[in-house]
Amino acid sequence: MFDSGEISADRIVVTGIGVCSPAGNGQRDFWDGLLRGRSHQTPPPWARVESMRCRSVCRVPRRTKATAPDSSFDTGQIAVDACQEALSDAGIAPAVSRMRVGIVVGTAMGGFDTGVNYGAARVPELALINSPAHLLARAFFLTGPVSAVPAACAAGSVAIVYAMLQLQQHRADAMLAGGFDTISDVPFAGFSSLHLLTNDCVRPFDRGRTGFLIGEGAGFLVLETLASARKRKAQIYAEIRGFGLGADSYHVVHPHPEAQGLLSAMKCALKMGRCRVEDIDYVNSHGTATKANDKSESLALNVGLRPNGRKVVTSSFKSVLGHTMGAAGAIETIGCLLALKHRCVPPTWNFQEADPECDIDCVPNEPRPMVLKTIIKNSSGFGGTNCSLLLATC
Amino acid sequence: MMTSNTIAIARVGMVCALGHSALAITRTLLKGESGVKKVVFQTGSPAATVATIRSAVPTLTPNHWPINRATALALQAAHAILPRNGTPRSADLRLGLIHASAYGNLHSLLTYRSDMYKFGLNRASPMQFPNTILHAAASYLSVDVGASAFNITLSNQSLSGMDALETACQLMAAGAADRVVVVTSEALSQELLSILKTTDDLDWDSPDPFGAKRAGYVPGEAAVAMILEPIARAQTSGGLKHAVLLGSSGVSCGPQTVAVYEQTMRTALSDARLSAADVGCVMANANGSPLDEIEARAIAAVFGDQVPVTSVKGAFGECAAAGSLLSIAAAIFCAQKGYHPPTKGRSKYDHTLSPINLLRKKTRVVKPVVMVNGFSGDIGGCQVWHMPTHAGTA
Repeated sequence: MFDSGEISADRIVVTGIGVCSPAGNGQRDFWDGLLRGRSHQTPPPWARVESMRCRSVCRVPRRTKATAPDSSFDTGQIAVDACQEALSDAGIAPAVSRMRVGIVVGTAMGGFDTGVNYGAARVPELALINSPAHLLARAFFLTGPVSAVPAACAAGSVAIVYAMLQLQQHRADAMLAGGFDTISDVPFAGFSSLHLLTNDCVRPFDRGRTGFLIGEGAGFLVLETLASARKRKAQIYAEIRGFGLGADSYHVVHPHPEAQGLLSAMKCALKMGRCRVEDIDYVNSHGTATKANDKSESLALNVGLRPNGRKVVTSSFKSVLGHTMGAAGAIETIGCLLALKHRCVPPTWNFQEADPECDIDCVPNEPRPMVLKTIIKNSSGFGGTNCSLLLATC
Repeated sequence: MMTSNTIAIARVGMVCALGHSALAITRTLLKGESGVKKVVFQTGSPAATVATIRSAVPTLTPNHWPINRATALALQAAHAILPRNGTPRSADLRLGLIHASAYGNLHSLLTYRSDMYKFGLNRASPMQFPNTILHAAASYLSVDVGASAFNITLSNQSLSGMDALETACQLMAAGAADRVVVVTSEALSQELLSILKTTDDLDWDSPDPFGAKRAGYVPGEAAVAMILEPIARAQTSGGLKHAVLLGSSGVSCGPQTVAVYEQTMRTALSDARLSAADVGCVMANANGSPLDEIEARAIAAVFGDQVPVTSVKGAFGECAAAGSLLSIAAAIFCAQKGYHPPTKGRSKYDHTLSPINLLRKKTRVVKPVVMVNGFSGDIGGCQVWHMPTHAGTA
């Protein structure tokens, strides 16, 4: 039986991370890519793109030998690799350990696109939205909760929230939570039709920003309770001290001009984490480099997180990752965890000219060493879905 | 013990092959009738045995954005219980929304891609693109109903609805919303039927859950919307106390074995702090597929052959994500008439299966506790609900 406002006291921490991204595969290459501004961009692999304004996509730089559980799931190899790295990093081997491990996968297009492009005719099961979660659970012998969270471009972050709820309900000993999406022709043409793709590089918060490049990637985190992590003597990257969700309830594709949903999400995360605005050292923004998103997100940061007139330190990783859609929230959260670990904020690359409508400290073009204790990670998506995660050293 | 803060299902709206009004659907169910028919789904294609909605389904939102059938059905179900002009954003009422789907927008994605290559990538429709994103229905619903707390999408095959209900309870318990609308919808299309036909899992005659002549399942389409809120809030808004979630196993991955199914049911009972003897009826997942045999053996092991067991999938068809919420809605409304619904089938109980008390006629409710089963492929979950025979005002 559930009672309203009855919050579990269990503290949730991250003990493993794994990533495949256009900035690099594996946490070491990924971090290096974020600090150096390295982005693996290629022409789109589809026919008939000559007429398109945007002619680049962000790809994962190298592929490992296929180990996916089903040959029809070859597009999901990056997810398999990221999950493998995260579990190894956490020191968990579900096949032999007694831990009950579950998985939740955020994706904007992934499940369907896998099914439609590569598998549906041969393996009807792949037409199901949750097929990536299902196949990953099977590949890693997971027996805990399994679910898919296709919450558009906030999916990776919402998946982390879902995993926290499962742990607080004691449904699992540990949860793999994250997101993955592969590039495909549908979002490429679709985002292009909405004039959201750039023919330049991605310049979040820049006056001359013209949009993003779509990217592919996978990021997964191992979450468990603080008590479990301490008992196992596992490394702890950070505590996820709180989360906030918010909905714009405004438009299917446009963000709310006053970012009401995002503002609400950040306030809820602060409240749940019992943090003050002054405690926030850094905000990792959604920062898509579209005119509307960056303007409204900057407004939300200035309204919600500007203690004593001080601009909050903010950067966007999409300048190197592109927009990895359903994976973005998870991959960028991993970047935040590494920022906490290395005490350094990766910059917003490609920044040239400040935009008065984005009056924030966006850490332009150079990494900024600083002591970090508390971070907010923001994610937003179509339909006005917003999610803020509050990450803190433990 | 229930308190004024206990979260309950306060309103239910549904659209399915048996009709649009809860009253009419309940009458038809209790008469033992079915919505399954032979239908020529698309001109030129052979007749298919399906449970389809034959009334008109809108293709545009009120402000003329094109929507797919799954979204339109979801909106119809939501409008049955919520005002069409939305809920005003208010600090006193944070409305959350969860949409659940298993196959989502397969038809939209394939149509979009086909048009894209027919007319050119640079002429893809910006207004149709949102329909290809898995979060489409939640996006339109969120704007329509005025969700301000969150809008997210979940997918867990035929357990999607159960997963969404439990997640809604968890998020309310965590203080993320004051009221949550859970909507599940699944729409049939020629594309989906073509994929399902390749599995050899479909029954071409009529559904026969647990029956001697069962030969597979019959696909169906439906949408169900439910409002969850604390009993005290429902009292002030005129809602009812239709049902309260007492316990759940969560949704987990595991092999399709009797032992796993049995353990899933026992976990739900244990979570509810109840024994098998406390349960008045089991709403089985049975749809005529080979999993019926495993479920019958597991039910027999947990409940013996006395506890009434029924399945409404003979009447509604297998509506994938909407299936589990249809079972819950059917159990609620039939209980309020004083009965458990019968199992519609075309043959007698298969006596090669373990003996269970399968209801072939409507049967008087003796105990108000109902177990709802969900098994699909190698994921499974069970929930235990308190469903009073008189909902009354909450």
